[in-house]
Amino acid sequence: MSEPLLEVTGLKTSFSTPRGEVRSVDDVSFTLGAGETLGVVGESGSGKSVTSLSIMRLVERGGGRIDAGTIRLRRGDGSRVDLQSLSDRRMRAIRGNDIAMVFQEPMTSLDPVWTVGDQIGEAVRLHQGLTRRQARARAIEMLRLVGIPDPVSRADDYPHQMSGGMRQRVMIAIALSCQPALLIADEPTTALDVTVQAQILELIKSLQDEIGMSVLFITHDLGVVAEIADRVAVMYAGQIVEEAPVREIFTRPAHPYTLGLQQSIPGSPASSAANGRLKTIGGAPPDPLSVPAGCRFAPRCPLVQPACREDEIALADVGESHRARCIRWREVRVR
Amino acid sequence: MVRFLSERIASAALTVVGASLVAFIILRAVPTNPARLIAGPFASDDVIAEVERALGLDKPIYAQYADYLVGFLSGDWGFSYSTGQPVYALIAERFPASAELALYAFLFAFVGAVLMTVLVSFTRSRWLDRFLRIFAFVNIGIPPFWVSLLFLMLFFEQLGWFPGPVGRGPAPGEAVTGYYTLDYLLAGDVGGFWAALRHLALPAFALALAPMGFLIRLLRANLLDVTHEPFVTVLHSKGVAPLSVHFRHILPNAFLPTLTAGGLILAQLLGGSVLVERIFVWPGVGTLVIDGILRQDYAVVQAFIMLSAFIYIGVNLLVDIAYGYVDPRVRRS
Amino acid sequence: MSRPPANSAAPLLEVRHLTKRFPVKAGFGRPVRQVHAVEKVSFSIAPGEVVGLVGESGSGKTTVGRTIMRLTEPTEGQILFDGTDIAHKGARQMLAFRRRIQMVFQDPFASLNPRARIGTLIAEGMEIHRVGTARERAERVAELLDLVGLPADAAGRYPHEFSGGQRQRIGIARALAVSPSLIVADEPVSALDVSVQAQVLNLLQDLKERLGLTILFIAHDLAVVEHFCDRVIVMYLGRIMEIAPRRRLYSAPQHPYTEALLSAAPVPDPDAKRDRIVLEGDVPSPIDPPSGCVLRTRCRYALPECARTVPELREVGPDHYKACIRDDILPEPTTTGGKKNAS
Repeated sequence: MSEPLLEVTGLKTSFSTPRGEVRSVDDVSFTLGAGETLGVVGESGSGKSVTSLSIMRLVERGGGRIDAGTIRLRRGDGSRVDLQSLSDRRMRAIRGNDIAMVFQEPMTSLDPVWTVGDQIGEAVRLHQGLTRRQARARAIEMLRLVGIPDPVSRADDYPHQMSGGMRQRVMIAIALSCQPALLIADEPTTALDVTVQAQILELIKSLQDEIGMSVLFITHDLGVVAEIADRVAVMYAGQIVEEAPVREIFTRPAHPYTLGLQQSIPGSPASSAANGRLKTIGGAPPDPLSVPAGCRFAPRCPLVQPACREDEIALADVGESHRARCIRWREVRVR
Repeated sequence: MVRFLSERIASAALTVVGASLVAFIILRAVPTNPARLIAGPFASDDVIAEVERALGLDKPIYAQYADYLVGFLSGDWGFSYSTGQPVYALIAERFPASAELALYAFLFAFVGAVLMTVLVSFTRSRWLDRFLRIFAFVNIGIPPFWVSLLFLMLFFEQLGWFPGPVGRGPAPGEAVTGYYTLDYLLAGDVGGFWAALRHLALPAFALALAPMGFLIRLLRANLLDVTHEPFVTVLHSKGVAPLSVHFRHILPNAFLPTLTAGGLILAQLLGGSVLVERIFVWPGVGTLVIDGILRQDYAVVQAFIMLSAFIYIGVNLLVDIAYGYVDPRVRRS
Repeated sequence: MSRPPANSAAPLLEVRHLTKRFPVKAGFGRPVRQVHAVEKVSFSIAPGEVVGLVGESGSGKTTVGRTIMRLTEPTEGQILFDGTDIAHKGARQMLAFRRRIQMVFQDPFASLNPRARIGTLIAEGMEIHRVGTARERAERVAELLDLVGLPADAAGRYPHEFSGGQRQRIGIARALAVSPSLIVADEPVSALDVSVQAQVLNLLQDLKERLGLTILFIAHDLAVVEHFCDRVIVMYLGRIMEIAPRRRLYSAPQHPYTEALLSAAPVPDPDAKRDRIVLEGDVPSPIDPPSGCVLRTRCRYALPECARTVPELREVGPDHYKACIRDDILPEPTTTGGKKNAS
């Protein structure tokens, strides 16, 4: 692979809560190549959304703080910047321009008192200095691109006049209006019905082909990941526990959690629904205020042994571009 | 839009009928016989019966109501028993004084609340925010008459910045609207306008403080709510500058729900304030109504209740129409 | 339609032509409009059967569940529970039936007192229906906690001390407390993370086998329904599109909507074939649903005829019904029985 577009190294993000300091993302590192789609999978509280907000440097708004790490981005002119070290002003020039984001809640992600056309135009006027008239033309073009019928009149609609699926299309239109090199999609289809989800996934895939952007796709749904990702990073309790090309993740998982997740899903190839029972992962994720020493998955792991509970386990190479945070990865078997 | 408006107007008309019915029945339920009040304690029963006939009090109650409603709408608001003058003339003479005071109080309250809340929320200063909350809390708690006295002691007696309790000050030569500031401006008399404004300042501020506190609380809560809406995060992810996010997105959204409260406050202020008017010797309707109640002058009181209802409904109609213009969700639904 | 589709055994629940329309607020001089939430829905559930009710938002599946519970009043139709029509029973007459039909919600604590202890919450139903003495109720609570896999000391604790999966276990214990004949489960696992969802599904499976529960399982997740249900009802825009035994439905759907729904569901297998049928556009407004077949505006097989006639639900195989006038579009199920389409 050529030089990566995005390179995250040793990212640590924490939040102050009434009960104490919570380290939501703990030593997360990954790279994302140009035109590539990395799926980040995890359950609630795994730190996947905080990772994406950290890249955008939007965690402060929610009371969070980036404690360590570098986030290197290759810009369109070939220069490389560490987003962590940028001034607020220069960071704003990157947001929406080099990196754009689509969120989970299409119903509440748009300003209710602005027309959708103006909301699309806002970003291009800001980043590309277009006039009001040019921005409107771009907005209409974007609405057409994301498959909204009759874009000329729809540009004057307000969000409440659109369905959830349409609003998510508008969100994508906003995100792509400045032709970003990286799209961060944070559970973009979770709030949608399955047939609308299918439309949106198809849309993201076809636009990615057209624009050639990279996508960081955050989801809890392994089915969606199987469909959209080239590579997959599985997160658990604030850490990446496994990272591999998508086929590897499903056929040769090297972390017991990855396997357990797959077996928990009814209808997945790995799930062994013997006598109508699913294989499950016992217990629950650790309390973020008191993560266990050693491997964080150890208390729930079927392969656990004393060594797992002693030292922090490193994310180590287990194969061709395949990393796992498990000392017994050789024994993880699909069946 | 036409349908929206006609609906609102129709429902306003219904409300007026309801309010008038209540005003009518409540006053009819008062045990005092108005005919006896007019004719005097020593009048014979025949005289009283005649007065009752003259007033239409012998008719069935629904006919009395119909007479009353028709009369009210055509400007016949009855006669004041105590002064013998038509009630309409009495109120018309004094209403502009109350209304002018109310409008300025409303202006002070609204502009003050918006300015302070927006600036404090934008600075994100905890210290200023705490100060604002205490300020609002104190404002709501202090009775206006007490503030009036405080203002007079401070700004009139001690500092001499504002005129004392002498009412509205010198009247303009020609009363076009009855609003002194407006009349002076129409006449091109800036000095007169300034004088009228100085007379208005203390009572208007005294009346403005409580609604201002209320509006600050409301606006502050709305701003806080909107700031946590997901769309604000989206705006930041687009690279929109904080200033722009705050003033072009958060503020309009937070401002919309205060329109309703603003309407209620305006309507309440327009009804006049008895104590503040008394203190500043303001020739408004508040004084008139208190006198009416004390003298059991029920035509005055009844007219005032009806007028208040009309004001409430009128202002709310205006608020509804304003929503129709500024809130897209109302406009198109 | 001469008779509503029924299973062979005498049904525990039989819903006939159930219709629910919600009036929409209208102003002066405007005709009163209605949301057609549920239109002429008929189906039945045999004792011991688990029936899935699937559909997207706006399909009316939740309204059907709430109407059976009489949390929503039906506009028309019959709800025969054990042979008695409970669709229009008064509150007092309904009480006896309420004990026999219990509901499990998506978030069982959304509507409950957060300051009540778990034991009290579970025993509440028994108190309302005057089941047993206080001591017997306490014993029953302990028994139920054990049954749903929670420690006995949970009874003395408060809702906020429990995780999502544990709360759903409590919700299930609460429903089971009065030994109901029928459980209406409305999206019971959809708010849970996958690993926890699997635990709760296994619990439901255990309970179904041990207690012979009859369940109406309302869900949007097709894989979960396939895993758990015997028979499946597919709804769209207030109408039933198809009813079939699980295997037949998943291996050989006969209705274009079922076909599209199944093909839209993402499969956790990167090698799965994806010849996806994407339904174009959005679900039409339930205030003004399309004439004839409600799917026709998005159906790739639609004919002019589809706009004219409302398709009746008709039998197309054993226990298999569909509401579509076309028989020439989708392959018939093979006689050897169903293959799972996912694997």
